[in-house]
Amino acid sequence: MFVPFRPLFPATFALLVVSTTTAVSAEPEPWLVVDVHRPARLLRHELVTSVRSALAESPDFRDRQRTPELERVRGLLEFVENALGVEWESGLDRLVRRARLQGFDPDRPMANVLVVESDSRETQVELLNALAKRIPPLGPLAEQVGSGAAASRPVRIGPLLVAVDGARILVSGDESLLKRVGSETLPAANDADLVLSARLNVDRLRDRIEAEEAFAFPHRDPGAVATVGGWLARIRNGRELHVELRSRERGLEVSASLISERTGDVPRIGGFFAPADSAQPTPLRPTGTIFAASWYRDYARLWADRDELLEAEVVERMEERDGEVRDELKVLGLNRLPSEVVGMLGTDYHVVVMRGESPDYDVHRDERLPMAAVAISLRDEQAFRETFEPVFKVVGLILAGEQKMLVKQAPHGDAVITTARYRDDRGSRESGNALRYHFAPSWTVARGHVVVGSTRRSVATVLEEIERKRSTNVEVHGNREAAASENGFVSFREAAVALQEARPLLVGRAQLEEGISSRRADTELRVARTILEALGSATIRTSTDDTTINVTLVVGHTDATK
Amino acid sequence: MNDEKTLFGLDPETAWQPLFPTPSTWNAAKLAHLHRRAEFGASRARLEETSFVPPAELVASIVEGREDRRYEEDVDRLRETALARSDIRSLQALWIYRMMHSPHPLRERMTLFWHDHFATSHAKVGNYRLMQRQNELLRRHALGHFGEMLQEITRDPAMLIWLDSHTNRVGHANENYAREIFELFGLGVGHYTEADILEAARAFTGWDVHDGEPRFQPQFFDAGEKTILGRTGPWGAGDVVRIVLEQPACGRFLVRKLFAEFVSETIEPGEDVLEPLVEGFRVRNYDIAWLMQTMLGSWTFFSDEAMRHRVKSPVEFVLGAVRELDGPAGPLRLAELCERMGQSLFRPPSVKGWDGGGNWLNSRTMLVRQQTMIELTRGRGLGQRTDPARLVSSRGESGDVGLAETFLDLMLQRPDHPARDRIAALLGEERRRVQRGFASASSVDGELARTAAQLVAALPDYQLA
Amino acid sequence: MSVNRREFLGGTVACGLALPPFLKRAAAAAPKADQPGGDETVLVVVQLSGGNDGLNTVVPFADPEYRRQRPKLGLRTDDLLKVDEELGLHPALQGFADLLEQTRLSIVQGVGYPNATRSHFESMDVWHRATPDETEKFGWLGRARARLGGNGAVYVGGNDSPLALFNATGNPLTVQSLAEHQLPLTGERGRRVRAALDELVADGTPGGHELLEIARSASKSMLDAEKRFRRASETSRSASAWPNSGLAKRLEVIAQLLRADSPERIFYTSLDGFDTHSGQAPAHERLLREVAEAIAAFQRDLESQGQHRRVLILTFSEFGRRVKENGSEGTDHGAASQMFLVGEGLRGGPIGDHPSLTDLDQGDLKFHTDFRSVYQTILEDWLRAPGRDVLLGDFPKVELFSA
Repeated sequence: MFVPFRPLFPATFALLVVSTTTAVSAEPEPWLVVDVHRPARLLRHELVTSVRSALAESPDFRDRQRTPELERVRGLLEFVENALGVEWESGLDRLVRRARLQGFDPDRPMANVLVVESDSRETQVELLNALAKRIPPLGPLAEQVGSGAAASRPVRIGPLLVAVDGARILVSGDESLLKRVGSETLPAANDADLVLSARLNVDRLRDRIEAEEAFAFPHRDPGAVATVGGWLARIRNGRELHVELRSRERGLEVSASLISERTGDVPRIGGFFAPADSAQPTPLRPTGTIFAASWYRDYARLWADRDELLEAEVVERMEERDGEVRDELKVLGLNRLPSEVVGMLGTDYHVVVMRGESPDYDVHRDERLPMAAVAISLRDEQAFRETFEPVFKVVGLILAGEQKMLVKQAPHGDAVITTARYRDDRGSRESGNALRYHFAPSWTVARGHVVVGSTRRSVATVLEEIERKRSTNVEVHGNREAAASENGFVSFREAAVALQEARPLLVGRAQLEEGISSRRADTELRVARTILEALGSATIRTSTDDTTINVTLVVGHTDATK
Repeated sequence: MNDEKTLFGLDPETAWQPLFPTPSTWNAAKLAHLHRRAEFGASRARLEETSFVPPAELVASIVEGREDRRYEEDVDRLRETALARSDIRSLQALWIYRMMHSPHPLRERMTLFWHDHFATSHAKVGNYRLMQRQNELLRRHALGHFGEMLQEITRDPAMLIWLDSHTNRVGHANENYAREIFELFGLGVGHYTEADILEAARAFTGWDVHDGEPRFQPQFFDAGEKTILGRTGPWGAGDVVRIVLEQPACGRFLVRKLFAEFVSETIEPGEDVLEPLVEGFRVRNYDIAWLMQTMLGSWTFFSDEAMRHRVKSPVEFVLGAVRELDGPAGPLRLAELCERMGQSLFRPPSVKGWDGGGNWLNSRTMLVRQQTMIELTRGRGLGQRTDPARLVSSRGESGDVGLAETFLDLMLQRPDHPARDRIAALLGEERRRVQRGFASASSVDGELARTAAQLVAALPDYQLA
Repeated sequence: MSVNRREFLGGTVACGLALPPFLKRAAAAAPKADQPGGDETVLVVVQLSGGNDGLNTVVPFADPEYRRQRPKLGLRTDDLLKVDEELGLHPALQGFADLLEQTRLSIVQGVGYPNATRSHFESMDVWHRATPDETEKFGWLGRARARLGGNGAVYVGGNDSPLALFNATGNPLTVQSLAEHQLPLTGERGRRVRAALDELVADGTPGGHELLEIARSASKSMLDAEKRFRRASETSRSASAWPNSGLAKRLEVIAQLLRADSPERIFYTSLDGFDTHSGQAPAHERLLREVAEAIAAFQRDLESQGQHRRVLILTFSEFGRRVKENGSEGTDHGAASQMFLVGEGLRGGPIGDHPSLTDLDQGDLKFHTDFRSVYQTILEDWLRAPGRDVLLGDFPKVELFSA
């Protein structure tokens, strides 16, 4: 603990006890509390310093900072620097040791109270004196504080009241709240890495009339139910949201939990999140993965529960449409209801973007672009294959006819991958954008999945990865925490390599779009790569249990293996 | 020393003599004039650098240009990138990129002139690679010998398609190219007859384009005797070009056109005044570099009747602004803006090229010109790298009059322009408005610099080169 | 009713009240509204490009030959919007039927020209030049506006402006949207800079050489036009609802310009897609609906502005279509067709007979009214321009307007 404060501590503690005990009855509870602990630490974090030093190398970034909006921010920072006589980072550190923002009424911004605690009273006095020169109404405040008064009377500036108490500045639009909060002490962080923690009472927010609509379940919108319905149901059910930001040694971590304990008229939306007893989709991360996301969703179950999730009229229309779409799709050789097709799909969805090579065309392209694939697990692979084989044939014919593509099938192990290629004879090369020679859309049905990718290689790689996971990941089940419903992964390092591989394209684009020389474009590219390398990778993991959704995002060098 | 006006244009003996530099004949305004006409303008840094060079030497170095291998390699790559995108805008942007970055800007400026002279449009040719190939041809000969350029353009695939040479066969002559080589490319109206056109069309038979290359097919060539401009023989395409080049009208036609393009759009010099140039051009085998060096270094070029006596074409307008504001700026967007101002590169309205001069300016194109300047001086988007704020923060001007003078000097070389006080007064009002809150002095000056540049760009003088 | 209105408006002006510009103009136009063609009359041309199938637009349902020639495309008599005992409008033309009811729609039947060409481009050029003479470089409205005191014309559309509007003094103003004609100067700073531009350009001491003078006057007219467009886009949109179609959007731009006091008296826009060689029925229905709904909305807007008396709308297409439908449920290029006129002071209803369905010219309807007769009537009786000079010939007038 900081030494000069120790003698004060018991006194403030006593005050706190008094205030909390008196507040029990009629005093309003805050609906929002944000605590900040030494925020300037973030500026010194390795991730941030390496990004900032990389940016300093970029002439473009320097130019971009000269926008009128940023000029205004810079004006403010310059002011801090002049007022405290230090550069703004350490000025900020001295000014904000801790801070707390409390909101007491979501409808009244004036019912917010901000408390900022500085390192020392001296810092406070310096800043106030300087501020008073710019903002004349602050004069009396500066005078009071300068004269040595421990706590000042609040001074009004516009709609706000500002008071000084020891090394703390308090700002609010509400005098009684200001007084009440002024007597509270700011809590210390309960763990050393915590930089920011926020607590938001969702109940209070939801109770507001205008929020009602935003929280309403989209009973009339099947698309919304399928994409975000589960989330909405949880949020609707939510009681409290916690957000925490931690500055870890190797990276930054943001975690958010939504606790929902309310019960009520929210529809049962099974199938949206992985049930606790189900196998979760294991993320596919073949070598060279730049981005991977995997999630669980049981569309068959959502469809089965449609009567509960959607209004009767909407359900009726969907069922009608189901039949119509089947009739429309007959031209493609598909004689199934869309709902039947959904029933063939499994519950695991994967998207993978990875570094890769361009497909084999006669057209030589200097750059290499990432390739991407989507894989969806199947409940009944055989039925799906039989249903879609004729469809794939028709699609192949259409591609060959309208897009003038060549459609070929080739085995990959025991799977068969179908690939559509652009023609690259002289006539075709001369017309149309040459970037298409990075693509050769491919697909297959194998290993319990349907896989569609931008190139044949991407489909093959994903198939191999599915196979690898299947053979190595059997033991994962068992001692699990809450099932992860969604997993995301970004490798900034691989992205940096991909950026370098795409260099000819990016530099050419910068020349034509920005007018900068290739030399300067290379500088910018180098800066971008340095930043990406500094960021390392990011993972996002969402898990759910009966009462809570936890989302954790970690950015930094946390993933040593890949 | 005599006043240059008495020398101007009237006396063939002196009109083309090199400028003798004195403080009144050679100053910042004249220097900027030279760069503006020959190189699409100059940045402040370039002006400072060249202000120490005597005019004759400077003109010679502008005509000569610099070699830069890295730039050439860069452009070779970029050309493939642009062609791979397969749209006209990318080709236009590629060219604007070259105008912006070329170590030899006069070559790009001349290429633009020849594109207007041999105006060929992608609208009919319909092949990006062939359009680009013609552009390279024009660039290769832009400061070379006109005769060689005329010979090559006659066999250029884009030109063959543009003027229907592929349908010009023995027995079915198509006069299109024959007419234009006389009327628009080589001689001008009045120096040939309809009969000459008919005969020349026969001589041009037999050429078409095969697989992107020019091809001569003897079976479609009319091998008979033709009489063209008084010369009789079994002439082919090359012979017609040779006969055109032998005509005295050829040099006169080109010199007059180049005079209007580079010296003045308001004066029509007499034959006798141009004659020394015409003669020199002819005896030097139509050496364009010699002609340009003589013209750009002359008294006449630097006379008051030449300064700001030309309407900036859209391309000159945007490039000039980008240079003055020390950009670069995005070529794709600039190409689009040029098109909206009436100049779509690779798509001239007809074989006559752009009408130019006062025709560039009407209510609609003026609007786009102003919109462009506002975009370029906004400090973001297209104008991210042409921010006027940068030009003052690095020099530390302050005061409203100082700011007004800075931009009147930079953009018009007239710090004492009659609009100065009014602009300063407007900046003063604006200063009082923005000087609030935590705005630092330099950010206020930056904001005012943007306003100042926008106001100067709105002055009618700014439309003139 | 019109008398009351005139008295009312005239009275207010006499009282010296400050009137908004549209009312002022309505007042100025009103005294002449009994007689079409006051000094301030406006013509709006809607070009239907591609060759509209006139036979399925205004249908001679009583003629049994119609059904014989149009076994698949023929419209059911019950569906038609009856004009009289013999004619019916396509069911998509409800907007026109309403206008017909109010005597604000005239249908000039059997319009065409001698030796008609069936080429889109050639025929369109004939309609634009108003002469088959290919050496004529300018259009009929271009020639007309040259004689209307130097008033400009506005083309609203994305493509190049039509030949019809060209004259020796140059191109008409081309507008796609009002926004693109404004300087991107917004907010407090923008307003100040904008005002400063006016001052700087207006202030420039005249003189200097000719190019400087051109630059100065171009700057001035740009700033004037910009101001006009800004005002037009700032004026509140009409309370009357506009349908959501391309043609409606373009006509709305014209309505906004009229509201903003534009000095132009000739406006032009077009709708493409009438070249219905196959699968005509749904496409034709959609197009006709777009035309009728957009023009009806335009009328409503004009009426709410009090400007409907001074605006005449004219539609034309480069040709009609073959009487006999083709094998792909479409129709091929034809000849004579009808023109629609919309506005106050029209005679209303059909003018002239529907051409015979049996007495044909190579399978196409024969014209009995030269389109230049319609032009001549509009030029002289509506725009008050010398029809003979503009049309380079004399054509008998058609009785379009009520006496």
